[in-house]
Amino acid sequence: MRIPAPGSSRPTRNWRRLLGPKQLALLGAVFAMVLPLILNSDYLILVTDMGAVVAFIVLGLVVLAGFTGLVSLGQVAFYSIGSYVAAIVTTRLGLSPWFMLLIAPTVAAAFGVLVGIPAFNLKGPFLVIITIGFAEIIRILVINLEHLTGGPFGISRIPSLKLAGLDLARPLFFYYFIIVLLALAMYGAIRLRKSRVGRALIAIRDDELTAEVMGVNVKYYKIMSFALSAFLAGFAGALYAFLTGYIGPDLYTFNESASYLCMSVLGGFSAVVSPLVGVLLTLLPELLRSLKDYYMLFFSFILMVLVLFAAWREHKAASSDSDKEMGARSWQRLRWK
Amino acid sequence: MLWPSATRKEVPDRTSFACDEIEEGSVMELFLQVVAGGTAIGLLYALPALAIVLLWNTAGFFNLAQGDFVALTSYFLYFFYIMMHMPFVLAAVLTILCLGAVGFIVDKALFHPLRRFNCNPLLMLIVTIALSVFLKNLIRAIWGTKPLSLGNVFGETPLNFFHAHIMPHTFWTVGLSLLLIIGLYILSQKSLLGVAMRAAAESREVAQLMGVKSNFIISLSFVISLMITAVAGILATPILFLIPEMGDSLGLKAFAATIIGGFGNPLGAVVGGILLGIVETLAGIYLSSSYKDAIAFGILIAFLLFKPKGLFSLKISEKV
Repeated sequence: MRIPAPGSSRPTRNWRRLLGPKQLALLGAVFAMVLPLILNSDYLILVTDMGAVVAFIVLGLVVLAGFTGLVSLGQVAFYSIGSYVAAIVTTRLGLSPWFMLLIAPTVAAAFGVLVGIPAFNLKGPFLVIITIGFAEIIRILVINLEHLTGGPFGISRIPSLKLAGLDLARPLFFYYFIIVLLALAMYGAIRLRKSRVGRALIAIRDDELTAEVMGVNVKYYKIMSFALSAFLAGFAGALYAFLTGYIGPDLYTFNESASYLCMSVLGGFSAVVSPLVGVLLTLLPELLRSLKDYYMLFFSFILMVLVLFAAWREHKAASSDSDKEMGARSWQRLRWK
Repeated sequence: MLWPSATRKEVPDRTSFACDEIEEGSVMELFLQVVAGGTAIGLLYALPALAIVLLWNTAGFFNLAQGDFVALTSYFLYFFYIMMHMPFVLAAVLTILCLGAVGFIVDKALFHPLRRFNCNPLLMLIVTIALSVFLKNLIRAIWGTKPLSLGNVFGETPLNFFHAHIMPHTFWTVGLSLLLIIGLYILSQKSLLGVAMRAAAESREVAQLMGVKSNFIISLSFVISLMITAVAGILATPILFLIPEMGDSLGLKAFAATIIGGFGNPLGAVVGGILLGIVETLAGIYLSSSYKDAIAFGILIAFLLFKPKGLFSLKISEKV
């Protein structure tokens, strides 16, 4: 029998008990179910769908940067590989979109392994640069291999997913489909974090050498987290292609990669908050049309302020010696070594 | 990242310094044109690369927003030269001073507090990424996304140099960059400031004990690095179209130059930049100009994989 710890009857604890993870998940699910009614417009639901697509990429970055501590600015490459593989195969060879929904992310994951192998030796800025360089090469190939990718015109008339007679290209149907998938992926990421593998990844982030000494296969887990994040990005790419029916090289620029990383940092690398930040920040500029041109400006500014704040918090916690007393839980996720 | 592809197709690539009429020239003339053009482009990569190395050596962080400061330079130059109708030299000097001021403000507002809080390197990296996004969107908010052009202030007619046709800005770029590089070398080797900077690079604590105000030195090196970047930007602006993303490719190639030359080595950065410029020009002529950037980045990745220490690795710098 559990003995309540002293001080557990404080009001904050009661709040925690009332709104535990299960209750929050239930609330979130109810909110997600009624969100289309609130938005009440096909266009806004479509934008939410795209936000959910982005959420998959952000989730991949949470695993890669948040768990394992590897920063990548080339996620857009896996995203575009996912969508182009899905689009080319379904339009040229006429294979089923459902089949490609599995194959395209797998191809992206294979490329993730390819990038992950050199990443083993590279740290910090060098890793970032190799991922940017990789993304640039992929983008240049996409623009120039015109007979395969359609060059700057992209690929149109990509078939959509069909489920039990429903055409999932309709934003509303696609919304429920992708929300369920996203919830599953988020749950998977939470489980991953608590599992043996997740603990190994976090050990690598905190101290690579110590992890190695403790028997963690650093190379294997680093490549695995690259593959996992590439898989999620490729999955997002395939979903995007089947949702809109059109893809072009304009969608896959460096700026996108930077904003995915910013989203995952803003969410504090939490498997739940970061993807939701991704959805919100895709939806917000559409809701506040007047801000549309400036929102990235605000967004990056807020990010810089937040990092300053986080660094200050950490500094204060380190200097005041009472590390555990600091209630900065969400900020502590930003602590990287 | 280089250019949004929609604008990219409309905008002709004016970065090739060598002239277009290749077929009529002899091998020797073509060689001269390639070397001159490649060196000029390479020096434009070498200057930001030098700035990156300077900052890395004294402050110990990587400024991923370097390319965006090049873009900011171009827009400042556009503002002074086209919008304010100033003479070019005055506009250029004002631009360099402005970039120095921007550097001072950014350092005081952002990097100085982060240094004081002993911020870990990965957060520092993310801050520079956020800064890069911020600068791009600031430019977009102020000047818009429409491609602007300054016109070639150095003159449009190619000069005849040993029968090779070489554009005047090639001479200007090579001459001014070499002057700047030599000046920086003398500054770092002979002046007291240079000695203090190198001391701070070697060991911040010991330098501080010897009476070097290392915080001031780091702020100053950030300002100087931005002023070097400004010179590169001013030299690059006449041959580029101004769009908010214009600095991205220049910035990335500057990183490539630092890595090819051996990270942390200023001389290596210069040599790496020139090599990259010549290889890129050759690739543009003999292989395909649309894959020229891909080849440059391929070289970068190959270097990171197989020779991460670069061509001229430094023995002392163990920060990598």
